[in-house]
Amino acid sequence: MRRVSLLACILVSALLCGCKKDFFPERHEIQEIEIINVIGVDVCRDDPSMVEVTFLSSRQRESSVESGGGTRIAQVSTMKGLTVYDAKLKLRKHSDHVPEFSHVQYTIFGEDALKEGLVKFIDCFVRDAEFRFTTEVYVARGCTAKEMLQKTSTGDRFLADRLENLDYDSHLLSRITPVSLTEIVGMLDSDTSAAIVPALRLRNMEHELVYTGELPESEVATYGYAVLKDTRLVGFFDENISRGYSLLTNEFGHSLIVVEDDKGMKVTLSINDAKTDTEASFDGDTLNHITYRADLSCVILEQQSRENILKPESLKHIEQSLTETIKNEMIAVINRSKALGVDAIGLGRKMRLTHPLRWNKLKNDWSETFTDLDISVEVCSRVLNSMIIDEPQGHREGN
Amino acid sequence: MFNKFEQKTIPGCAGYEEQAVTCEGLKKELGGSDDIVFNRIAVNNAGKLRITVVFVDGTVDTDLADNVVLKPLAISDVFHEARSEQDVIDLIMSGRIYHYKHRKRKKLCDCIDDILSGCIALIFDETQQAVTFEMKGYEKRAVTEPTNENVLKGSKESFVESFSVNTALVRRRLQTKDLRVVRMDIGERAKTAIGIIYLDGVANRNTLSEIRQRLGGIKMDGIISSGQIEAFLIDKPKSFFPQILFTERADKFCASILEGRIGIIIEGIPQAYITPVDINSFLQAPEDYALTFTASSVFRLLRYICAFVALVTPAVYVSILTFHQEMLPSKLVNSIVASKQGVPFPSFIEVMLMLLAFEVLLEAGLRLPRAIGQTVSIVGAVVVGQAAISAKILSPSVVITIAAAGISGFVVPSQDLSNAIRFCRVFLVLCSIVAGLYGVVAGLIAILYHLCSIELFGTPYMSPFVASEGKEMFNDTMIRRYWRKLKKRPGNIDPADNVRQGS
Repeated sequence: MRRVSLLACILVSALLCGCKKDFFPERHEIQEIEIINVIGVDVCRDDPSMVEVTFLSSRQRESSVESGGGTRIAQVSTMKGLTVYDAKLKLRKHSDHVPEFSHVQYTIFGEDALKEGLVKFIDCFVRDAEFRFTTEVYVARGCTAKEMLQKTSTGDRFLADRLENLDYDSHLLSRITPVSLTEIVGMLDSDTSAAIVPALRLRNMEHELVYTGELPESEVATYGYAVLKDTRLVGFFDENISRGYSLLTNEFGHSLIVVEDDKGMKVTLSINDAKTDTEASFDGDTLNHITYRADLSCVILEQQSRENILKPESLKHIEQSLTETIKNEMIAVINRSKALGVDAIGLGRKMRLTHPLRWNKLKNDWSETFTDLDISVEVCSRVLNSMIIDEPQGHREGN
Repeated sequence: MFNKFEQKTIPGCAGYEEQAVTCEGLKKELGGSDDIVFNRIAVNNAGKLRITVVFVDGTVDTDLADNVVLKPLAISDVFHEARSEQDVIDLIMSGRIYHYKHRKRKKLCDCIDDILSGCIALIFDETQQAVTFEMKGYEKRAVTEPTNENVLKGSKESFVESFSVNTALVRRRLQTKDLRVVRMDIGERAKTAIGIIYLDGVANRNTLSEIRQRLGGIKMDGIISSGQIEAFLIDKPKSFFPQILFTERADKFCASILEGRIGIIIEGIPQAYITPVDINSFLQAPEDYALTFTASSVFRLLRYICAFVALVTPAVYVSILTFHQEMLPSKLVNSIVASKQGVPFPSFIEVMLMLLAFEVLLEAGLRLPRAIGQTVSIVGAVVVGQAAISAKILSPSVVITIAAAGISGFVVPSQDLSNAIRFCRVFLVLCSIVAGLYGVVAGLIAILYHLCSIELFGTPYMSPFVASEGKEMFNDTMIRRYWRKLKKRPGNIDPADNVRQGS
């Protein structure tokens, strides 16, 4: 009994201590909250000192017992504020539901916002415990984040779903590698390499897929990477060379590529495995030369000819085509990075890890060193197999 | 409250222990009950020597009494020569009546005890003596299959209400000279037979003497239910958690005796009791020892997980839906929100309503006859599961949560522990209503504190997880070890001989 009394005293003291109103967590029923899935951040066009934050949330219409689920309605709200947090509070003030920011999966920054500097806007996301550190960050290229959020979601099609699918595609196609908030923070803190943020663009519904329900005005597509120097946007890697970036940073997962065989017919290859080594050549403490050696292995997914392309000479031709294409993509990324005057391929980070003593002498003028650095690329490609088919359908010797 | 019995005297029994045996005395003490038969019979042909036969109708084997006792008294030549009651008594005691257990009684109280326990008594009024013959012959239930602890592999014998049948079931399995059955008659009036069963040289002597002392201290009228004994044996009678294991399976009981535990069998109760035990004992099923160690270990782990799920699921549901929505995946939030649209109650009211409905259905199903019980289950499932959701009184997610917790609770083999989990589950829901997951964790700490404070005859309830420095943590607890590795008896009960199998 004494113990129970003691426990009760502690509990009552905790409840009535008056230290803080919110001793216990805030209580909200789940149907009272509004789940914010995507946030867009732009500079306000009317008043550039203000921030315009767009929130994409989903609400649920009542479900029937038979169907089990409800109908989702996409809701886009835009708030202007002095800061991102100010805009966030305004949303809470004006909304008829309690906005829940812990489910924000994606944050999209407008191009203009990034030109002003990412740090100005990202601090709220890092500091406020309500946001997840796993939130993925994108840049809206060629439009504002607000436009992107407004034009890509309806009741049936939802931007967060599309971005989730892009995540999946990124592993399959290696077009872009999603970057989380923590990774961005790590890049911004690095004094050697630039920050790289995947870019998105708006695209008209040009494909011929048949959907039921209401279609949005546009859809999003990947558009390479945005390159940030000193937290400000300085340029982009276009999508046609973004695979080269994945190979140079050794973040390559899987990709498809179409090359021509020795008869000029198309062959689809699946690059299943790729590893890139970096070799630095020094003269004393001076960095002379960097060699990237990429080793690719792929399988044949499809061919258009009736030839047996597994013959050594055909295979050699295919491998050479693949090598050439990949090499060009990698070189294009290096050249673009040099042109932007920033180490966007993470070479400085790699040097710091592999040659820490020499790096101490290199790091002070790394930007200049990188721009003038002689970088070569060597690619070795191998076709491992052709799935379960050795000879194509209708194969005749000599055809 | 039980101290009242110590001071209470039995009405009409003043000097009862010292009275000599007479028919008048018997009639007076037994109050002229109609089921007590008094028959006057003649011992020899001349009919000059008459004695009284007394027995309780329905408790003796009358055929046996006729043939073994009364017939020789009436027609045997030996008894014709008897000239006095003392001669007859001497002849009987010298073996002229063949019977395995007959006793001469001079005190009225002894004679009454014998009569009430199923003996027939020959009353010799002149000499004020009686001779009693044990001839129990009442109807009793046959040994049947266990109803609550069924197994696929293993014995199908369960205990019955008869004390002697139960002890015989144990004896048959443990044919060792070290097996001891200590009988105690407990209860001022009912004199219920209670047997303490243990293996001499294996069971802890201190525990044994403590149990005997506690049982001997019971001054109740009689022992009709097991809870009465349990209340006197355990140290924390107010605790929700069971502290004595009961079983209806003779093989499980014997296995515990072999482990060095002490068993208690009570006349009239078809279960036996095992002590000292720890919390693991309530999560182990007899089949664990019939299966391979991998299978039984997996099933045991599953039971621990299910017990935890049954305990915390409703509380975690309330916490997450009311306080910590960020813990759910976004798509699950959407689907829960959709299912809760139109439901007027907050989540914790829904959970409390559903828990109440679940408990009511469970109780109704237990109390009703089997045929009607099934109907109640169906009606309950339809009403709660379908109609309540259609009427937007409850949301489907609550039904799923409570059903998951309820079904997980049924996986726990011990009904007592399952009941404790049900009580604690409500406590945790109340904690979660106040402070979400903080409250749940605080509630779990309080429960853990309570569990750690329970001791049974010196055995910590949470051992071997506590108080053994981690030793035997995985000996025969959450996983069942390979039989060849189970060389020692459970150390937490401190057996006199801890070697279970030689090397």
